[in-house]
Amino acid sequence: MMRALWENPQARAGLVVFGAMLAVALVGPFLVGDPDAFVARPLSPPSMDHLLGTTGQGQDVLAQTVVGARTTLGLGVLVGLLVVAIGSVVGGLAGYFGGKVDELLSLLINVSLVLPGLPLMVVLAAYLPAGPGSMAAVLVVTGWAWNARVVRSQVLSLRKRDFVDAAIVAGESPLRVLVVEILPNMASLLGGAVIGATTYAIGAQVGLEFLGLGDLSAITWGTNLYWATNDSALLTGSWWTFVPTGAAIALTGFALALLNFGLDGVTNPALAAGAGTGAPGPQPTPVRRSP
Amino acid sequence: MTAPLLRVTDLTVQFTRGGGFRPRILRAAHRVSFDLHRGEVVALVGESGSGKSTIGRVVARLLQARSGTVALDGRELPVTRHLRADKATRSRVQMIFQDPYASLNPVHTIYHHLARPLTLHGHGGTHLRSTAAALLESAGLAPGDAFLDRKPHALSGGQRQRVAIARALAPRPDVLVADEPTASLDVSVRMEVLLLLRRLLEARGLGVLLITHDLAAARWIADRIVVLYAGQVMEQGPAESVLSSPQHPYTQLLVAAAAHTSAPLPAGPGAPPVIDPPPGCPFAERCRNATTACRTGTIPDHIRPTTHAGPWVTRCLHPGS
Amino acid sequence: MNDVVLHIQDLRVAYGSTAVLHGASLRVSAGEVLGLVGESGSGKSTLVQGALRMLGRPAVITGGDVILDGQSLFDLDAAGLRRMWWNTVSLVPQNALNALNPMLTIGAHVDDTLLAHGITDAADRRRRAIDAMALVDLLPDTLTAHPHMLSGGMRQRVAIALALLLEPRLVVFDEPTTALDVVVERDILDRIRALQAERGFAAVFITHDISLLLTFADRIAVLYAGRVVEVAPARALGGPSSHPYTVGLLGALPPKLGEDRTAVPIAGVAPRAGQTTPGCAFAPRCTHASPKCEEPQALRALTDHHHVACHRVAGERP
Repeated sequence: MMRALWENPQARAGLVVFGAMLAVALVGPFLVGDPDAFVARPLSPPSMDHLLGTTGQGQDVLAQTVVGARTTLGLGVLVGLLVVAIGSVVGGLAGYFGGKVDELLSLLINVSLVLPGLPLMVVLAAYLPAGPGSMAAVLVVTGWAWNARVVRSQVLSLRKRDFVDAAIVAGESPLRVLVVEILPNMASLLGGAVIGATTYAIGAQVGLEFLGLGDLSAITWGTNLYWATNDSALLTGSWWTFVPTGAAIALTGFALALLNFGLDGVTNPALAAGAGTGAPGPQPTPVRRSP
Repeated sequence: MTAPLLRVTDLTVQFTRGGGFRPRILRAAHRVSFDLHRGEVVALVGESGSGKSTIGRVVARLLQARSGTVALDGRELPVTRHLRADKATRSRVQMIFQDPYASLNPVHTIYHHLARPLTLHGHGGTHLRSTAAALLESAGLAPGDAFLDRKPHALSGGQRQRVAIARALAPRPDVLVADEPTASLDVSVRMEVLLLLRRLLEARGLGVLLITHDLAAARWIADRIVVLYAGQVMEQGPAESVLSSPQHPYTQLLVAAAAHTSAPLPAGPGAPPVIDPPPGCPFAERCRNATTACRTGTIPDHIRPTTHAGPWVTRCLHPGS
Repeated sequence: MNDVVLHIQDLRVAYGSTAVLHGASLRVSAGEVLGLVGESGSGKSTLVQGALRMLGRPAVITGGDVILDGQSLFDLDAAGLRRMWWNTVSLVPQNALNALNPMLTIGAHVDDTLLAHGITDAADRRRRAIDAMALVDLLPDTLTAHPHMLSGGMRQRVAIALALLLEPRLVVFDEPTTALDVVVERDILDRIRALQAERGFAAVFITHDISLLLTFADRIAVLYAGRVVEVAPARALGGPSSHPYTVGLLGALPPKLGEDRTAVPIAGVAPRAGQTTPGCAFAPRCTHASPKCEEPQALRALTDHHHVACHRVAGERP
């Protein structure tokens, strides 16, 4: 599977770009200066000394962008994994056992889905003490249900397959059947779910922080944008205070989207590059006589 | 006759369809009784909707019954109460499914499919791999070792079905429920699989409950045949006798249709009444000999003892006509 | 029976770079049923659908010719072919039961087909729809039903009615009764025969169930590993001058009532689709194989109607 992903051009591009962002997040902070330090006159444009200029508080934009990557991406990936994990457990149990268990868990899932996400996020973020833990909690609480729904319906359909019955007749316990027999058949779905959830986590995180609901003392992409606006970046025309972070976010989102498309292409060969183009209606089988 | 290995008595399986004020009852099986002895193949035959697969799944503890009993070596199984079964009970009844492409897990190797049941039922241990290979060989896949690391998609339909048989044999069962094991296979491979089942049955002293709509195959491989229509037993008895001179009008219809001649059939096509079924014989609406008595009241069993393979029972008011 | 409706000559089809059909030839006349029998991987669906150019990507025709009602199908462009499809030749596809769109009523299916072939008058369409249902003994109110409300047999009858809508000269039935019970199957077969007597179309009946064809078809073509190995009148199949594969196939069936024989499976495994040998593909499993079998075996005529691709049976006749 991994090999197939690598061979798919979209997936490869996505992996390379996202991998580069992760590398920057991990290693970058050691290569740049202290993002909190006052280094030059505030709102100085990019120059040889400071490649991306300075913020409204005289801090190095490059350093802030690079350091911000660490928290944003780290939390994003972590929340993405958590959301899928929780969603899989709840959805998996509901889909596998059916009956009363399904009714109860579906109720839980549906209530979570019906609660308005953005207001809930805002309220929770405002109420909880600032910090990465709270941010993770807010994102997970508002994000797990959609995944649970998707996993539940896929498990429901796989549950009916003969190989599941065969495992039950052979004497496997329900948990083993769910985890060892059913879930591996959903690998591509779960992979796509993680990518989607990570995208959501990054986007929601940045959104909340931009509104000022995150930990304002931390350096993240979201808070970078918050401070840029707060320090009147647009009014003064200081594009360098928000464009780098914005570009980084956009690039990350783009990379994850490419990875998702690539994954779709690998798991559904009909979507792979080259097929499905041309005029509408059935095309007759071509005749190609070899000389 | 020795005591039966499997005795099914008055088995009834029902499903409710639709809720609201008047949910409808789908009667998949109604008061079905038959025996299965060691070393014997009993074929449950019928068209779709006859209930044969449902009965097989109840015996394999995949479905719950509404009433009736299923006894294994005299001991009753809780088929009406729940689907939980401990490993010891599970090991005694195993199942082979119709579609060899669906009954193996596409993400796992053949080794996994065999190692799990072997380990679960205590036949694992240090020689797990060679035991698995030997099991494949006894199902006709030689050399067994060559197949262990492959995945199902690399095997043909016939080969996959052999893997399914090997897997079913791993827990050393007493009863094998084979649900249309050859329906999805090529014609030239079907006989091989049926002969394999027969060979294994004799070698290991199993009982095989063969569920099939293929009358010719049933006649070839089964000792006894149970003919089902709309979930009820119409006729049962020694396979050769029942199929060469069927007593029940429905059996006569099946035999005539399966013969692929151009002679007209004794009745036309029709759907068996399984939803909210009327009283009396379910075949009455299609039967040309049906009388008013057939549509009311209970239909008696005509029992004709035979010298071998148990009695010949026909549930009909006008058998043999 | 001289009115040859379909003539397939030496057809070769490949999926991408893998050749799956290696030169198959067939002829079907009006009013006759040609049975096409083969196991999985033999290429029976590929043969007919490829001949009609109904195969999707990555199939490509690499050789031969197909004459339908006097017109070479390989000379036609897409528009010409679409005129042919359903008008001159129609297909009752494999799994027609599930090929009907569950979202549309039967009436909508009929209407769509008629509209697609230029029948613009709504009253005309309505009349043809009712006629179509009557043709297969279905009540007009079937037109308002959705596919899932009908039984398997009824859906198959709908598929047949759809195929006959524009009164084609040739109807191809691809495994139409495989998923049906034996009593319903018999009903469908009787109907096909009756409709053919009434309308006079040529019929190709593809199936893996050879015992069905022995009493239903007029002539039978046997396919093995992408080649036609025998074409014979149904009664002559399995006799002493039949291809060893045909004999093996018939011998592997469980014996019928009154038949005194033991069923014997064919030894060995059939080649997968796409595997080729220059000579006879059946030789590794044949009890009469000889070195001569490694040479290409052409279909040779034993009589006007009986052709066998086996040098042992047909001798050296061209």
